[in-house]
Amino acid sequence: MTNRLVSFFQRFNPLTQRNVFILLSILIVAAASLIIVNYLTIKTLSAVRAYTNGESQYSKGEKGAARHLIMYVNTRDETHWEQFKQELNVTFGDSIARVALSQEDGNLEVIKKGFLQGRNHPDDHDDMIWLFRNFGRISFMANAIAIWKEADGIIHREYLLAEEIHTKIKAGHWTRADQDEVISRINSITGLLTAKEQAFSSVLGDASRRINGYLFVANFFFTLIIIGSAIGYGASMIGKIMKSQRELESKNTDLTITNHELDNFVYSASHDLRAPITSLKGLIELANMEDNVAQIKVYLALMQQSLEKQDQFINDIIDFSKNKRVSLQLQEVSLVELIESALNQHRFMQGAEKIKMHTVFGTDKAHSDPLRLSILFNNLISNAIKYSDEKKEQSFLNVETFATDTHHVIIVEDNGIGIRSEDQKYIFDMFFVTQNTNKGSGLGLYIVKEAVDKLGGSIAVESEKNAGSKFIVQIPKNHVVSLEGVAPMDHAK
Amino acid sequence: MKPKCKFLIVDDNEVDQMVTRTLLKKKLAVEDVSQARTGSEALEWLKVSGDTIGDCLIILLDIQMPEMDGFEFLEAYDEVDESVKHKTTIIMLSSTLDPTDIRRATDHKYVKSLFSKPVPTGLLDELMGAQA
Repeated sequence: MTNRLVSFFQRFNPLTQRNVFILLSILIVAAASLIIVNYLTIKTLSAVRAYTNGESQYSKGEKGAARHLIMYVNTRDETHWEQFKQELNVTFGDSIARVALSQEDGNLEVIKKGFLQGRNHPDDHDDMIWLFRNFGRISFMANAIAIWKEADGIIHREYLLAEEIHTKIKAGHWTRADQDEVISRINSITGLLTAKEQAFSSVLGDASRRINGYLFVANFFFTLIIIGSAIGYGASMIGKIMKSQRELESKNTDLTITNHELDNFVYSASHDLRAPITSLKGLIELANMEDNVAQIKVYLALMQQSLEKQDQFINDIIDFSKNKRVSLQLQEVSLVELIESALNQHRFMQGAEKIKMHTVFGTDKAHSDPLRLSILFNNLISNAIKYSDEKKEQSFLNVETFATDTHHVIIVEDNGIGIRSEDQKYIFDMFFVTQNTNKGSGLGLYIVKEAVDKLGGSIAVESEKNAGSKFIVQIPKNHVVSLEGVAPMDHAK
Repeated sequence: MKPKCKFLIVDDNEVDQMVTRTLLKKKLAVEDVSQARTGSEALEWLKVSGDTIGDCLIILLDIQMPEMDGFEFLEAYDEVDESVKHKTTIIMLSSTLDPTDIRRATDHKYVKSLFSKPVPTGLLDELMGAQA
């Protein structure tokens, strides 16, 4: 389970900074949309409710008016006439508001007064105006308004009929036949209006139910997006934390190893620096006791040998440090020049005069780091001279370069004392020295290996005891910086 | 005068071998000095020349050597015949500054003492006197 969780989070690791930003943006936009959609739908539903309520007031007013008109016709009592007009006024108010709203620059005062007259609650007025103005052309509201307009027209006809009745009654021309006909007409008008009022309610009811449905879908959709983005974001954060924790642990391990290596290095280096000094102290003590000048000269020669060894060791340490600390400087370099210069530097080394040096250059220009390359060539050439075999009639040192499709290959070959096969796998280890010699610091080939690694190349050895050694170095033509091969401090600089 | 001991120098550095050998000869008049370049050579020498030791053998053992270093030699020395070990004194001779090496050397049951190079003949003489 834990493993599946880890691999789940690991899959979120590719989330880059940019992707996380996009995810956050989606989250914010979705949340904002959700708030806006909810606000607007609630406002719409509230306005729809206000209109439904308005319709109910309209309907009550119209029904009341019709009842009073019939009472008036039956009793000819003027009080009913006044009450008829008062009730009908409710529908007139709504009508005034509708007409004003339909105009582009309808006066707000007039509209609100109309709604108030139509017995709509003042708090609802703003929502009602907003819905009319913004949704007036949209199907459901347009339908409702059309029905409303027709109803207003019918009300107008009712009013005209009432005026006619009122005039006739005032004039005393009222007959029994008139009364029957009028009542029938009033009933027919009321019937028509009831139908319109029901249609109006039904349109708004439908709309509000549909809006409810949309609101649910929108809420569901945005909530899903928000939850999805939040989970994605959270997972990527947890993934990042887990990743950085793993990195931290591996760095800690590296650091412990580095510290340990550093301690080892300091003690080994101090031993190797001290060894020639203690030899020197012994030789001085011997020379002090000696009267024979020839013997003293022998001791002096040994002193020089010890000092040269120490000098070489110090040079190796400096190369080692350069190789570690100096960052790669990739540039156009001439392999021929670097190799020639390394050979020239060693021409006067002890034993070099007896060695026949031969070069074959099949490739020259490379894109690489000159410092690493010269460390490499100097060490391989100095080794070939140092470990030449005095028993051989003619010692040689051959350096050959050639190119493959992808690499420059440099071969340094000698017929020196060679390396025992059991030692060959250790020769690139730090402070490893072979048994049969006192000449090495155990650093040279270690530095060579490190330099080759930094150049992204490889080194191999073919050797046989007493026959000679052949080192084959491959340097890539296109250096690809590998993060593993290069120490972190190179990047920090 | 104590009985003359035989010496075995175990050191890969030829200059140091020569210096130690000459100092023993000139300061302590020791003539019978053998040498080995590695721990394994020293073991081989003990195997071959174990019965020619005579009364006593002093091994001057370097720490850092290729192939088999001083400590590896001491481990292998455990297997050496008791009669040889009985007559043998091991003194470590090194230029090390590593505290781990120094502790390992001074704490080791087979190591009589740890000296810094070049061999301090005065101390060596005292040690031999005390032993005899």
